[in-house]
Amino acid sequence: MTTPSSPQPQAEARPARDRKLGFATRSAITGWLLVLPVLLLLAGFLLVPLVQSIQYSFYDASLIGEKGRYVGLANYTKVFESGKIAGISGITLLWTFGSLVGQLALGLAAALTINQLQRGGRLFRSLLLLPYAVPAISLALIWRWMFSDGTGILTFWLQSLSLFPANTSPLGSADAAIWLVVMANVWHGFPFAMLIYWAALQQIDSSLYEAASLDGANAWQKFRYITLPSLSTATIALVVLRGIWTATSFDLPWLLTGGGPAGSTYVWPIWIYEEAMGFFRPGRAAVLALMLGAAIGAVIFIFRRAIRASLTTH
Amino acid sequence: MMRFLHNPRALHVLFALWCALILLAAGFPLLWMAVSALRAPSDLLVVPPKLFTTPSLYWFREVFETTEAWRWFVNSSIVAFGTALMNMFLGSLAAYGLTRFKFWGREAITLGVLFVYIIPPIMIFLPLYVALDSLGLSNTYPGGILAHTVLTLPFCLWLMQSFFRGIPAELDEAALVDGATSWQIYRLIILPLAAPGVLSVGILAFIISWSEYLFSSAIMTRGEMKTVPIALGEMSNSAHAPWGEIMVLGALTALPVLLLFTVIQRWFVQGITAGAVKG
Repeated sequence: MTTPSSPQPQAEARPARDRKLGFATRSAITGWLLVLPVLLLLAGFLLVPLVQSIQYSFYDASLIGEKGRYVGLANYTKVFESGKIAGISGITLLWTFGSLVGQLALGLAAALTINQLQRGGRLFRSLLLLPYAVPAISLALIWRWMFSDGTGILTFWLQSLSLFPANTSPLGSADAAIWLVVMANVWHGFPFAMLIYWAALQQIDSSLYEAASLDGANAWQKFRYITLPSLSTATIALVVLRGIWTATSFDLPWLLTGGGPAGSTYVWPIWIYEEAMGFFRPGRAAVLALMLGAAIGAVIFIFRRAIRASLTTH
Repeated sequence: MMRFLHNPRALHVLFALWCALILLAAGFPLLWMAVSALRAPSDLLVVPPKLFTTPSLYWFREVFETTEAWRWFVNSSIVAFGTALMNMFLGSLAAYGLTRFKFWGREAITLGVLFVYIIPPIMIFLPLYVALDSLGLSNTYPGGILAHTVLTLPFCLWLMQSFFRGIPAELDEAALVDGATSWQIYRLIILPLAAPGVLSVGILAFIISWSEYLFSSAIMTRGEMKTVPIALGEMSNSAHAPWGEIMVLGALTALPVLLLFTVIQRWFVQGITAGAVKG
């Protein structure tokens, strides 16, 4: 009290600092509390199950929910010795790349078309977006109906044009089925590519085209040297995103063909599902799920720069 | 051919034809489903298939008289509404927290949400089902709602975040100066401004949940708990698929989704094109 540096002035300064500190801390706590429910939910029902998959893969449970005995790598060796990996991977890659090529090509064509439309572009775009919203179950059933033997409208048209032998069913043909499933998926997914390409087209500086016109460039040259290079980021994003979604998608192939005929549309996710729900071998299903996850992780790792460049959180 | 293409009118006609072709290709399957659902029994399974017939409501009556369709639609609605509410509530709180408060780990959470969005459902459906089953939640509405919320929340939260960022921070700073609490700022300033975005996210969650097949096929399996996609999937796999009923149910499943999607379309287009992909 007698010292010149009495606590008085400090005591005056402290509450102000405390309030400031207190505000920052309080704000941090409020922030955490707001995010916490989501974090708990996603951790409990997304991350824990993901980790549990690893555990499952070392046990021989023969019933879903049962723990089973620890069997080491037995599930892994069984999967590798099944002799199905190469074939099913091949079909999955065919399904994925076939869908990608079709969706991107058709999506780009549709985006360019919208861009050219002087009137009604919005309406045109809205109508073309509809296939993207159709639920997988409705989508699968429409295509099965259109390709059903005898009475399907597309079957009938294909057969009348002699593009397909009479008295056979397109979805029942081991050669044709995979392409029809791809076609259904192209129909379903092209609007997404269209949207992304359309947004990329909007961002191209129109003065580039004017300058090119002055230099005497023709339509093709403008497309080749201005439009196409401007779409590379969008293309990479689409290939990665839609590639992952397609390679891991289960609904459409399962509901359209169930993997048949003769396993010709049996993609990897169907394999996971059947091991789990059909044969009640959660261990092997987990091994297959982890292999798929590893493949996707590798793709993401390889393309991490491109993904970061195209995904932005504003 | 090339000279023909130099004629602007010919070019216009060609372009119009091309537009019509794309529209037809995109719209035909949907139209065909609607047309097939409205067929009389005698017109449905004929060779060659007829393009135009007199509409009939025979299969609609058939569906609601002979199947448990109303039950499946009630189940789907409850689960989808619940999922939408969960997403709107939890998502808007978290988006508010992530965009308006500074705290340790915020960036990591923002990025983490984006990464869990990439986890494919097929990788987690089995352990998730086991977890819900051990909690006694399989074949219950909360179980279905939880599963669908886990499926939709990462994407919905991410969309909501970008929406919340669009609301100028000056507004809540001003309110803070006036002595408003965090809850008041959320209730009175952020939420009213973010309402269209929050509602759109809810509709999107509803659509995804309504259409979901994989999780429901493990969780909602008991007869009286089935959602429409599950019941419809089973129906179509029976030996003699009743195509008339199937087309009616397929159309009734797609119809609300198409309507709701049209409602949020403008916002969806904006969100996808601005948020997902940069130039």
